[in-house]
Amino acid sequence: MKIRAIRVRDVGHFAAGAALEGLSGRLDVVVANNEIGKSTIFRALEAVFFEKHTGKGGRIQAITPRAGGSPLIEVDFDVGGASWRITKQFDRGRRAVLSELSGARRQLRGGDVDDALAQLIGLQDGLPGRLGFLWVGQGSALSPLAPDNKRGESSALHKFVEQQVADLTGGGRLRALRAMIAAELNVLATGARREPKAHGPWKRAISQRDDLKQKFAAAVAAQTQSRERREAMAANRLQRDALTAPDRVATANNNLAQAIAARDAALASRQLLRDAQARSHVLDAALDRAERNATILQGQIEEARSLEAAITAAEPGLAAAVAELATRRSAVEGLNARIAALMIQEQRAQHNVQAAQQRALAQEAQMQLAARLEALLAARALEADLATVASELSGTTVDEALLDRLIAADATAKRASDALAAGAPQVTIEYVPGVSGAITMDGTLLSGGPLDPSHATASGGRLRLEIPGVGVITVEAAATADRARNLALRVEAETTLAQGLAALDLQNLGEGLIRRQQSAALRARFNGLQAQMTALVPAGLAAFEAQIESTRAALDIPPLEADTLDQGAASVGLQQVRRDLAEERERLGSLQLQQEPLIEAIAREEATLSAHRARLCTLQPKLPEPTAWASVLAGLLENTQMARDAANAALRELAAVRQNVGDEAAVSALERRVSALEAEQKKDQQHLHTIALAMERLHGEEVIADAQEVAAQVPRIDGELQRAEADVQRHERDVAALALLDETLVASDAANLDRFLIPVVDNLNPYLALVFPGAHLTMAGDFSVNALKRPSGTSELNVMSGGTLEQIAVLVRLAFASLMADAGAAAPLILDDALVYTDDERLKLMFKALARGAERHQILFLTCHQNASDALGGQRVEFVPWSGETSS
Amino acid sequence: MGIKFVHTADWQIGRAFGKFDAGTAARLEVARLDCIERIGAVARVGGARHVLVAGDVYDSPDLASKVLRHLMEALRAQPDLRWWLLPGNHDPARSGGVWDRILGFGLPANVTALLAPGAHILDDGVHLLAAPLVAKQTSQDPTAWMDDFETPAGAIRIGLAHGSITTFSSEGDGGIIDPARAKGARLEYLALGDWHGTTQVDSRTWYSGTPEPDRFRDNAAGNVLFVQVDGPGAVPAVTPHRTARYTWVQEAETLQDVDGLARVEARVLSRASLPSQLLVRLALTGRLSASAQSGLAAWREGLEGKVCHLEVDASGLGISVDPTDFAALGDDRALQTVAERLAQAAIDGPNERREVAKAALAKLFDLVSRMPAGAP
Repeated sequence: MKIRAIRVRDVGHFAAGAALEGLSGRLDVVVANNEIGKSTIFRALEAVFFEKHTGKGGRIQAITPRAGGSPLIEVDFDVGGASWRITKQFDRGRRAVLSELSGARRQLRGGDVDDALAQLIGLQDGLPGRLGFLWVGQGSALSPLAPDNKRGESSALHKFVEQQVADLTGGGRLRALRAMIAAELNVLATGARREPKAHGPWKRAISQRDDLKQKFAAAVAAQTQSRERREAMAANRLQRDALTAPDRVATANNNLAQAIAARDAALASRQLLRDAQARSHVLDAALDRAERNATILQGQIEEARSLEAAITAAEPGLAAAVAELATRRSAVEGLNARIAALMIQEQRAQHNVQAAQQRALAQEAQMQLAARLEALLAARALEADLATVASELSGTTVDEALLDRLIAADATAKRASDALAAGAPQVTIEYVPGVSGAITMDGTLLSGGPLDPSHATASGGRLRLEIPGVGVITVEAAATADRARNLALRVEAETTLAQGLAALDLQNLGEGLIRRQQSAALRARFNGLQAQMTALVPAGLAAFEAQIESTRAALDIPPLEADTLDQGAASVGLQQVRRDLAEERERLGSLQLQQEPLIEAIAREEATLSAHRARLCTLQPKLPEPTAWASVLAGLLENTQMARDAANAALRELAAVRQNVGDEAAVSALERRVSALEAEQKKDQQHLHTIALAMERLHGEEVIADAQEVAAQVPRIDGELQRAEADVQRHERDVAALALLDETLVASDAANLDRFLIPVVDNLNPYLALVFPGAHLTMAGDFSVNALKRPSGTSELNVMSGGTLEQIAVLVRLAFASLMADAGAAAPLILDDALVYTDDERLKLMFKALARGAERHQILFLTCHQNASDALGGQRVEFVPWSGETSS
Repeated sequence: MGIKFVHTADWQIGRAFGKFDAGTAARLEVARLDCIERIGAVARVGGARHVLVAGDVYDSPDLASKVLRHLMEALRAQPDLRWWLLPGNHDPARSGGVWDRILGFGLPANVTALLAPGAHILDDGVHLLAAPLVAKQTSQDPTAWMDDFETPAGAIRIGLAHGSITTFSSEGDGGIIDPARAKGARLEYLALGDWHGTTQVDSRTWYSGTPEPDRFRDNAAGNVLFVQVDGPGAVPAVTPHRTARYTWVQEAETLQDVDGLARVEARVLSRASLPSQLLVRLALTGRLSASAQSGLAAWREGLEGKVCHLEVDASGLGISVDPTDFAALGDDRALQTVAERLAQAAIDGPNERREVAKAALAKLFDLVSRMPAGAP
């Protein structure tokens, strides 16, 4: 394949059409600065050959101008001895035309174009394949050493290599087999560890087996439970049948009936005995009552007779005693009246004595009251005086201490003034005769003579004498320390004095002294009045007044019976009355002593008679008429005898019945047997009820279990489990077989690798020798380069410089391009700025290699290095305008 | 005075065939129940009114009630016949067992469950001496009592029992029934169950076998016996009748080449008129070439599509290494080397690896055959 022309419009930088025409098909060099559009041409070639015209992917977006438009690309190329033109427009104006430019001049359009084009240039599965490896875009030269099989590069290269290795064609099939194995293994197992893959059939088989194991265990458990349930049901049924067996039931019923009959007979006999005993008891009680009634009536009759006799005997003596007592009581009553009169006299006499005493006391108290009232009047006068004096005293009272301090200050001021006056200038004015009053001081006309020193003192020791019409004479005392001190003392004292007088509300100190004298006089008078008051009313006036009021109250004296009766006569009368009274009381006591035994005897007799009569009254309603007492008693005795006879008959009957009745223990034993038999039957019924409940429960559980059919599934699940286990083993065996096959294939592949690489190495070595003399490359089975071995040492891929890497990348591609050319499938090697890190020296060598390669296949070299490319040779191709239409 | 009856046994209704795929298992289960109608037909055609089932009527005491009922309804649907059902070791007459449950919901009027040893009147002068099993395992001969059991003079005595006779040992468990019981108990006929193949012990003692086979064993299973006793002391006339729907075939074939597969297939298919009623188990031995090994799977798939069920045990099948055998791999020397190595491992590698190597070799041929045209 050789590219002859490339035309673009609305592609990348080429919004207007541009074309590279007349490519030689050998070494074609396109030199252009960056941003001119070299890489656009490269991407346009990829798009037109590798993309469908309906494509919208990244490769199309990369060539679409920013301003929009439908990229149009047209390429003329030779392949298979024919010339073709491929025209593709993408995006909205999409179209594809493949035209044969020679020969039959076939033309295809639309969807047919892509398949035909792929067939022409040898693409498979729509992937770039070998062309992708030979077309090195800008910036990708550093990572081209391992073919990218996502782009089909590796497979395509292998295909060509294998065509060159006639005796090693199996290598490709071997890898295809490995791919198939990997695909099958990938379904079953994980990568390296070969464990069951999630969701894969092996894993599913294991899950199914494990699931079945669980189901099997559950089914076996259910089966066991079901069996146990049915066995329990059967056991219950046996028990129920045993309990409800007719023989057993009949025997139990019969036993119970017999026991009940025996017990009932015994109970009836016992009842007969109890009835006889009751009758005997009743008759015994009747006998007792009859005997008791006869005895009681007889006793009551005798008692009534005795009471009546006693009452009749006691009544005369009692009547005489009562008469005697009445006599004595009359005498006592007379004495009592006398004593009462005397007691009244005694009270009256006693009253008179007391009244006389009180009167005497009242007279004394009145005299005391009059004296006190006088004292009270005097005290009240004193109190008024005291108030007056106290009032006057409060108006004259001064602060004695302050007054003393003022007196002291006044004295100090006077002493200081005196001292100042002593030190003041002594000025004497002597007018010449005829002249007077010619000198003034402070506006005051001075008469002649010595000036009062106080003026100087008052004016700070300075005298200012003015002589009108003459001048002013200032006389000033000498400024000494004493003068200054005295001035200060005087000022301080005068200040103290002024403040103190103001505080005492005094005009001057003399007024203070006068007030002091007045105050002292008033105080002396006040103290005298107080002493009088204390002497008159020591406890105070109020207490004295209260005392008087008390005394006045005490003078409330009752009136006397006779105002004339005095205290002595009253006492004599009282004593006489008391003597009379004592005599009468003595007589009364004597009478009463004599009367008491009689009263007691009468009381005793009356009580006895009352008791007899009461008892008799109680007895009389119970007793028949006294005339019938004998006949009634006889009847009672007869009844008693009849009751005795009946009781004896009942005792005989009881003895007879007792002989025919068993003892109580025997009856109890019969009752216990009946109870035991009844309890046994009840227990059986309860047991039957329990069994019925258990059977009902078991039946219900069994119905549910039966409906679920879990237990019945045991053999089925067992079989399924065995099949599942076999499935798991089959997958295990398959995985093991695939793994063994793969291992064997890998071993074989490795053994053939060296020979497999021979055609690649053969094509590479001539180029390698040009650039790296004496070196060779080591490659892996996927044609990735491992290392560069040179005489100086081995360089691993990861330590190579950028320049070396890109040089090796280009050389390897040269080798493959040569290999393809040898295989009759020449393809252009397109390099877009693939040697950017290479130094000038090495670049020359690379150019030699490229020139040699171009002898066997086309090389389209896109570069921005104008000068360097001059050394490359080849045909320089320039961009020319293109209208978008090409003549055929 | 004589009697005609059908002797059958080992129906094992409810037997699960879990080792088979679900569809096959269901078909086999249904076939056992369907068989009842064919048994009835045998009786009617021969003029018999009684069907004696010598044990193992049901497969298990754990069956779902509906399975128990299905059989009872099938028997009820044939009211012109009287069905005498004897419990066997699979369905012993024990408390809480399958018969308790059946009695719970009632037997059809034409069915008698023989749950206790004893005699029953089949027809005038014909006594059925039944010896049911009451436990899954027993070491006592359940028919021993028949020797001393008296019936009216001139009566025909038919024995019905379940268990191996003491001369059988192939089941691996000891027999319990005296093979001379018919003679000792003066039985005109002793109908036995337990042995699934139709077997005559003596002129008066027979195993009917199961009417529908249930396992791969070449033992003449799948029959019922039509029995006619013409009178007291008469030797019974016993005629087997085929009742099986499915044919279970177990074959072994020693292969020398791929043609052996065709031979064994033809032989198997000849065993039944309808291949779809064949259940086949094959044990393949001998040697096959590596390429033929890969064809084995395809052959198996083909046969599997024809028959109801197929099991192939090829673990005993060796592999032969023939250089010409690798022609299927083409001129690919690398692949041939791989095949040689695997073949060698399959022949003389460690035992545990031989099967894997054989499978790997078969896989190699299989993959190569599936490689798309145009592959390298």
